[in-house]
Amino acid sequence: MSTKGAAKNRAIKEVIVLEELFLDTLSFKFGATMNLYTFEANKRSEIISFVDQLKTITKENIKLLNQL
Amino acid sequence: MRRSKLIFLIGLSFIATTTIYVIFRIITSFESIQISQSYITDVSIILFLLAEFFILIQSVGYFLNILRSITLYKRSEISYHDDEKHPAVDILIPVHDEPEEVLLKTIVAAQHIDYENYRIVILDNSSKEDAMQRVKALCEDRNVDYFAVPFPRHGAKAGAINEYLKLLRAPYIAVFDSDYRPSRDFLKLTVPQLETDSSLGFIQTPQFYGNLNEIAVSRAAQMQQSIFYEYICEGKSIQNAMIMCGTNLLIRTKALRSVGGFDESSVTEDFSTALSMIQKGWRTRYYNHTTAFGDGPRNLREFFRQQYRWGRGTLGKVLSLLPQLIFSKRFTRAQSLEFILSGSYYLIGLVWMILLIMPIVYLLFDIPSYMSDPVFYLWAYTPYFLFSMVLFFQTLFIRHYVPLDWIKTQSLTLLTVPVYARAAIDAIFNRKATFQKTNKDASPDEIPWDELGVQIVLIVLSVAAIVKGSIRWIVAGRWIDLAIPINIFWCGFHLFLLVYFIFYVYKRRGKKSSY
Repeated sequence: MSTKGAAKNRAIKEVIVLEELFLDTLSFKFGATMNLYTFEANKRSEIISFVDQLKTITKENIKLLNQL
Repeated sequence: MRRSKLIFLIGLSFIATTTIYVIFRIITSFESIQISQSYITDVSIILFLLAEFFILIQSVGYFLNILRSITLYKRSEISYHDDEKHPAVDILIPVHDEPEEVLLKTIVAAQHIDYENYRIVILDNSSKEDAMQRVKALCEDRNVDYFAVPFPRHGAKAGAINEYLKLLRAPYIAVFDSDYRPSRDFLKLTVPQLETDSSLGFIQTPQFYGNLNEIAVSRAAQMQQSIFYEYICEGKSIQNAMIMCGTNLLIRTKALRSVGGFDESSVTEDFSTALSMIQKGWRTRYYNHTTAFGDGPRNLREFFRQQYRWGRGTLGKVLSLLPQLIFSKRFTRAQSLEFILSGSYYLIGLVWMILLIMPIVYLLFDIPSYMSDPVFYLWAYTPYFLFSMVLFFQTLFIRHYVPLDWIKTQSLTLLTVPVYARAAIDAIFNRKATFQKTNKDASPDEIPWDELGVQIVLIVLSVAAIVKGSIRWIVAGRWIDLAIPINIFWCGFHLFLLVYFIFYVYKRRGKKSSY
């Protein structure tokens, strides 16, 4: 594999690691916030929906990156 | 009305009702012993009185910390600007056979910390050669420093840090457990505080469990942690009696060296080392800003193991230091009181055993814990109980916690009573304890039936006591004897809490969170 190809592979691996860390951090922070603290019901569902959207997109990104 | 004023008023009412209840209990216990006709009853009366006093003292200590936290605690808000000089910091991540994928995320998070002058060092204390090779390869791949703890090894995590301390040049070290991902701002927020106050030995930040969505035990354990980190630690910090909590902290190297490094003789090396630093005159601080997330205990077995270690280590240390805590001038009175309260908290297992057994003993064997008119008891006990509950829940409301979670926490605490009791007995008799690290791969669905023997016996006895008590009360026509329904109520309450958490874990098995 060329140097450029190796660098590209490494970059992809790095992005996957970072995306997974992003997912983790998101789950950690919102998990703690939503589980421990009280919110109005409508605000709660809005936040959950927003986080769910971010997580779904990130998971899709990871899946695509793993296919490269 | 401002919240602090409301808490103060509720607190005053709590103190007043507590005082009335204490007077009532002393008088009734004294009278009960005078009319008692057996030694067993005498012992029962004295044990119950001591157990209740223990709870009262801990409750008052908790209230005082809440008061200090609300009225006096002010978080320091100094942080670096980009053009300032950044002193060197070594971020130490001790590892011991941890899964690579867990460690990888911690390393990556640490590599993204916003600070110019730091390096990450993995202190590898792994027991297996192949695990060490994998960690070493990971460090090379991620371009972080690898330090293999030399043989012969000693003192687990404390020993690993102490070995590295021999080579250390940086003025500060940050310590993170291998599953705690630090936030970007950790060093920018904490280093300036140590820079501007040369008497500060360390800064501790809170610990929050990130896996509480999917792990039932972690969620209840987090609530326990929250009460500790939201109020008790702020109160301790004000009195310069903050302790280290093992991870998410920044330590001044000079301060750690001044006490000869981490105490390797204790399974709670963080608590023990903090006490030594305070004895040496270092000040300590709690900075209530969440700078890292980690994984909480994954199941009851892991939670029991963790709580045993904390109980055995903390109580053992306080007992060994008791003469110094009482007589030494190196601790202020407030500090001594804080440490004695912290350490003695772990007597809670023995205390709760008494409180759990007494209603059972009364209903099954007719041995009373004290003798008084039940109506007087209700008049004295009810206001005290109500105000302590109102005070407790008000503190949860202030910081927007979900009060219903308290049931899970209380249930988990009661389920852990035999573990705390064993830890207390081992600490009192100075039985050796070994450092057992948390298993990051443990199954969240496991219910450790083999470790629930005492709890199951208590559940069975409570059911038997309720049945027998009900028969005595209803069938035997003792309607006037209010002592029986009062004891049935307590048995039922304890029974509910003992079984609730087991059902909760059982119900959540295999379920995943929706967010």
